[in-house]
Amino acid sequence: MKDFNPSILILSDSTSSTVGLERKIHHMVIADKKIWPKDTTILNFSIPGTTSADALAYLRLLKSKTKKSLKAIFIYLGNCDTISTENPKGYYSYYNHIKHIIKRNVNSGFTKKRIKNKILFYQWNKKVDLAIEQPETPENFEKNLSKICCLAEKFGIEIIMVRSEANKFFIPGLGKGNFIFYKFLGINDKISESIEFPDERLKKALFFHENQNYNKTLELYKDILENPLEENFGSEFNLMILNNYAVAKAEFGYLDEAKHLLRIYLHERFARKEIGYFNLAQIEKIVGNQSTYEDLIFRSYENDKFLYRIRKPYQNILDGISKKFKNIIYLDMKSAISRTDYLDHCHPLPEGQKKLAKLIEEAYSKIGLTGNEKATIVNDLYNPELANGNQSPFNFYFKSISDIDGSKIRELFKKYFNLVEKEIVADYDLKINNIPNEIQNACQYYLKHPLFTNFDDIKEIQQFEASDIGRFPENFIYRFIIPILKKIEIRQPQLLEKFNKSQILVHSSDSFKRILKEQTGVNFDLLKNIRCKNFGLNRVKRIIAKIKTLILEDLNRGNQIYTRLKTTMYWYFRESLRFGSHSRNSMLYNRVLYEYVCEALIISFFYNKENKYGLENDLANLYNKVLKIIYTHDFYCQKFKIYDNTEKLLADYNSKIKDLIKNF
Amino acid sequence: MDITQLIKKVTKEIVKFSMSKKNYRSKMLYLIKGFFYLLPLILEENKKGKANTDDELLGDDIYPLF
Repeated sequence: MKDFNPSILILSDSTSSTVGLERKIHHMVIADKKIWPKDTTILNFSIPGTTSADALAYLRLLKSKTKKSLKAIFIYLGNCDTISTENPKGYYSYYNHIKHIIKRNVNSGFTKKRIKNKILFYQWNKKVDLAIEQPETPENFEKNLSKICCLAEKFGIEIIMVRSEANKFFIPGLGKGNFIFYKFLGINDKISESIEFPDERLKKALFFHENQNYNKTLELYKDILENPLEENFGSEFNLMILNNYAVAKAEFGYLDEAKHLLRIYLHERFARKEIGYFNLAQIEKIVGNQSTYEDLIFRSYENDKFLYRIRKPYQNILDGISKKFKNIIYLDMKSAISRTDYLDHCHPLPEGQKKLAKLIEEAYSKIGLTGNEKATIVNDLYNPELANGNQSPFNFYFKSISDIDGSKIRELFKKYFNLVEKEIVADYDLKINNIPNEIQNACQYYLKHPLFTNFDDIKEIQQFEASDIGRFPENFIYRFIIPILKKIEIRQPQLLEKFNKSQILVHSSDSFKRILKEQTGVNFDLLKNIRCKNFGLNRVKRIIAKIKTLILEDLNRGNQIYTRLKTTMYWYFRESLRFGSHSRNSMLYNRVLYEYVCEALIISFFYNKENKYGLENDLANLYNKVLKIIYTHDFYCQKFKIYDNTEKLLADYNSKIKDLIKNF
Repeated sequence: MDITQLIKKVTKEIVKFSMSKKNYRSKMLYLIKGFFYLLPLILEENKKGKANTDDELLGDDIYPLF
């Protein structure tokens, strides 16, 4: 545990995590205001997945000196305690704490917990057994929070506690199991081309379902149920088909039949209740039965143990604790945040963050934390298994740094490039040549950025670091562009202004340095420079061509709003490390791609001017088109509201995308 | 680490921890609790699978590329 002298400690989860390029989460908003006493430091340990037990574990781990320096503890918990898990952490008692200290000192090693119910992303996991999972109990939630409050009282620290809320209208059940295969009424996601499943009929059924060919869809679902494959896909499979059949019936107009089928579905033991109630609610909404719709949405929400959303029993515990302790300022999120402030399951949009920030700011001023300076946020990141005794720092736990050292990585890359030249890069070839998959994965990821148009562009890199091939190969891209962006900031600052007029499309070199440090623990200035040749005329031409290809590929997919929403759990963690953990309207399209495109464009503009390549017109033309596309995505994504009727909006969006393709 | 070594190390740690407590009563209390509760618990947990690098471990189930 590092030495800190903070005035404020944040004990929270992704809802208060202060990582990423955009400073829009509530505490970043208030830290940047000049309202703090001199030298105010806010210590934040929040990362996605933190529960009350982890928060207590962290508080127990803090040195007495640090605790004594604290004036306030900010608590915003509950969303992660309510999701089911195979390894509930329970109450983090003092004996648990001692046990973990002893274990760590004897170096008997902490073992990461194994999980049986693994999310296989686009594959069906027939081994999933959600019955072996359970959320943290409200009793343990209360014990952990009460202990935090007791400790705070002992040290004379004030507590600011948020009565957490979440988005009741979001798609339920998206955090666990085989949710990707379930259809949700009114949610027209497109996953049939991505899924892997042994029975081709399911893939076809989903394809027809997505394209609203209901006769064929119903026929195929029926056939799957009547003539199943020999392979056993688990107790959930037939129920999933039944749910999808009912959804297709409802979309086809047979609402009564769909309702009847969903009621049968809900009586089944292994049925995902939250999904059944959600679909029933949507039918009631279609027939205009608003009160039944709201009642069923409420039931779906309260039955949802498979998404990070706080439920009533846990909110009741927060209410109880707020009355039990005198040192608590209790902030009711509901008073500030409405349903329009949400986009995903629990993180408010920037406007909501501002409202929340205002509430929090008032609370800090009530306890006398006022002044004329800005505050500094220090992230002290561990992992969501802290209460299980795992004290690995964030970068070690999530393997953002590879075990292989820099010089060895260089050798491995050379070997790999040789194999690529000979076109022998199958898994078997890599294995016999002792090349770890990390090398290939990293290379494939680098090629997603338009700056790297082919393997030769990567081959030019002479220096590799352990952070380049970790779990987040995007760290290499940050490392690669930081020095170029720095040059642009000094020599052609007008270029940055050009890209960042009404919104930030290219972030500063310092912001990238900051997130590189956050994610890898490595200071950029201590890393070796990437020795890379200048961008020649041909490379800039190739970049322009690659940008066009990537954008066309993306546009041809049409609007991706529902697919992005349904797969929130797939990309949220990774994207929150880049952008921050708040919701963004740009979550609803592939924003990362467009920011990569802008990075490649600005660098092309820069080298074009420096070396007089004469490509100004091509680049300017492309720049205008890219900007138009981004503004189109932003326009429609800002208007989208999950609880509204979005049919017309999405039809307009798709037709606009078609126009953009024509003009591209 | 074999079991005898582990017992030795854990015992040493329990004694060290207990002796760091201020009064005699606390020292004895932590010693007793340590030997009868924590020692068996730590030994039991040590038997469970060691960490490895496969992707079935918590925290490793991150969607590979976005």
